[in-house]
Amino acid sequence: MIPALALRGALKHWKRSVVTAGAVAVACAVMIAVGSLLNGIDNSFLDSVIPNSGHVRIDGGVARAAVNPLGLRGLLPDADGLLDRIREIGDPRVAAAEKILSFGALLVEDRGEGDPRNLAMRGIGVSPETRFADNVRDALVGGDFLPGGRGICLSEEAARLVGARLGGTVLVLVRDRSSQPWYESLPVTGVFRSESRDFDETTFYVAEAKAAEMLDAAGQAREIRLLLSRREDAEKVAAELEKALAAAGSGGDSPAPRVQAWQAANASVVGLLVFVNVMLGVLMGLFAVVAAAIIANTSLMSVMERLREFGTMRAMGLRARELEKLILAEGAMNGLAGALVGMLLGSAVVALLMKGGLDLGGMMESLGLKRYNRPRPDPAWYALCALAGVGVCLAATARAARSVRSRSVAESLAAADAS
Amino acid sequence: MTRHRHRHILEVQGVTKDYQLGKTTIHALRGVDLAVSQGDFVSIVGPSGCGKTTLLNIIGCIDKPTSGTVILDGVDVSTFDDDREADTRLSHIGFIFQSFNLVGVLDARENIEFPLILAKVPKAERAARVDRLVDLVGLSEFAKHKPDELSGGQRQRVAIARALVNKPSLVIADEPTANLDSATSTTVMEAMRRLNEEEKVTFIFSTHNELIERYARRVLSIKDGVITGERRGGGGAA
Ligand SMILES: Nc1ncnc2c1ncn2[C@@H]1O[C@H](COP(=O)(O)OP(=O)(O)O)[C@@H](O)[C@H]1O
Ligand SMILES: [Mg+2]
Repeated sequence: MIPALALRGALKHWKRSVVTAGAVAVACAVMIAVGSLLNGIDNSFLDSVIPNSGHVRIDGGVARAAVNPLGLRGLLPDADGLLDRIREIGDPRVAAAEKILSFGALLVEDRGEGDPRNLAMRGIGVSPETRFADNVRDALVGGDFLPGGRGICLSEEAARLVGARLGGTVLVLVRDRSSQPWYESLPVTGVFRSESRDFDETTFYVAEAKAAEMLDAAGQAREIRLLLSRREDAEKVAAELEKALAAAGSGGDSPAPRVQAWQAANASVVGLLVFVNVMLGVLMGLFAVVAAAIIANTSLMSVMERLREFGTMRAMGLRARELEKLILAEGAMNGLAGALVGMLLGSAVVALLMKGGLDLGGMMESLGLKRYNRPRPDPAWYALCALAGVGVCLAATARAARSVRSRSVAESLAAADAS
Repeated sequence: MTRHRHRHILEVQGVTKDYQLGKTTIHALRGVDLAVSQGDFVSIVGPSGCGKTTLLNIIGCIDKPTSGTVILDGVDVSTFDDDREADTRLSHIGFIFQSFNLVGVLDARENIEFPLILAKVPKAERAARVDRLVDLVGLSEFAKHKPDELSGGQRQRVAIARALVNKPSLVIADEPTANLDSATSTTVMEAMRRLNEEEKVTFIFSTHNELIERYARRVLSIKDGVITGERRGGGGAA
């Protein structure tokens, strides 16, 4: 009887119910959308960690300090040796280790006559089977990613700027380690289009062997990237590896290589993310408090304005405890309806944002984050928001119900009738 | 017929009720004695503020006396806790209110049925009892109407049916016609009189309207919280 009566009460006082459930719904939807966006930012960063630094990065340490981070003086002089040693150590947590040879280059329109167009870019030499270019592979719009180690893979935009196209050629001009210019005409074997204009206009890929040949840097590398089975192990693995490599390499004349976990390698972005998380977390917390207050208030009002009706039911012989259950059931229904609508609403907003992505502007790119944020829905977060909405609604109704219960029947019957 | 031929279903002995309003104490009832027999039709008459509602609330287990006892069907109910009071209201008392107090979300039938549901009466029996009462108060055509689709007189007749549905020992009506025009008041009082005569329902109602008090068989005057006299009214079962 109580659930049926509660349902009717909720329907009869539908305006109140709509306000209460609506408050729950909006609060849930906002929390779900913002939480998913935040999760999306975190996730897009974690996605970009792998191509940028792997889970652990080993480099010469000099590149950071150098005026020209793409200069060839900061290369790891014995990358092959380091790779051998890492394989010898055979840490089971390491899933893959690769050397990466990035360098500065000028792409020049491959045309004999006139004034050819050119573009200063960053070339990245990787193994054609590299695990660190999935973002580019996913963004391919034509051709393949360095098939058989052949050619150059560049963005649609860069190709346009230098007048190249898939199947055509482009001139790649570099200075080698002895500052001698070197150029070579490479076939365009792959074209990609990522979401980041910044990335597209600055980065192209060639096979690592080709890069080493052009730069006269055989056996050397800008960095060695490690892929771990679990990214949580990164800091431990980095610390252990640093010690092992320092001990092994103490005889040589070159400085010991620097080993960094992804957290350290991306320290400024990690710091920014923590800041964004804390800020939005605080904002969401404040929002939750305000929403909770509104929900609590409307629940309380909707109960209090029906004091006389409840007094009548008690005069008929409804026990105080039963009345409390009745009021709670109504609150639970409002809360559940609100949470349900809120989840649908939140999902709709999230779906919309996932389709287009939320343009966070070029600033995010310069900070090393993706320009387009796609929210990442997390069922646990949805459930938490819904539960919190229902919980607040129930807690507020419980307080109202206790307050109704604490009044005498005579007092309740004498209350002004608002219904 | 004398009162002593019947067992009293209600005995009120030395009941007082004080309200504390800040520093002043309001003596709403100053020692009320009253006995009501099965089949009585009693009216409590007095000006506004004389303590009618207070007395009826105490009789109906809605309020507790400051001192004195209320014996209902031979049991002293003045010391009951909340739950026993609620159970007593459910099984022994029917209420009719000045402003009807129907449950707005329920239609006429369901309002009448509500006390039966509280009393856990089986469904088939509920239907039979509600049908009978709907007929008795002449509302068969309006059984599916919500309270806000009914006139004041119809609402009060729903309330009467609701008060009777659990076969209470005593039906308490606090100024049942105060919100009705005189013609409607008459039909409502006639309905109560008929139920008293034909169904032997015991009514105790309050009013400050002399036209209404004549429906009762006993008229008790109350003033400043004490009963000042009793006379025969014009109505009620012989
Ligand atoms: N809850 C209350 N608190 C304080 N005083 C009250 C309360 N209820 C009634 N009274 C006072 O008790 C007296 C009797 O009131 P009531 O029984 O309502 O009278 P009536 O029903 O005859 O108009 C009045 O003086 C009224 O002001
Ligand atoms: Mg009164």
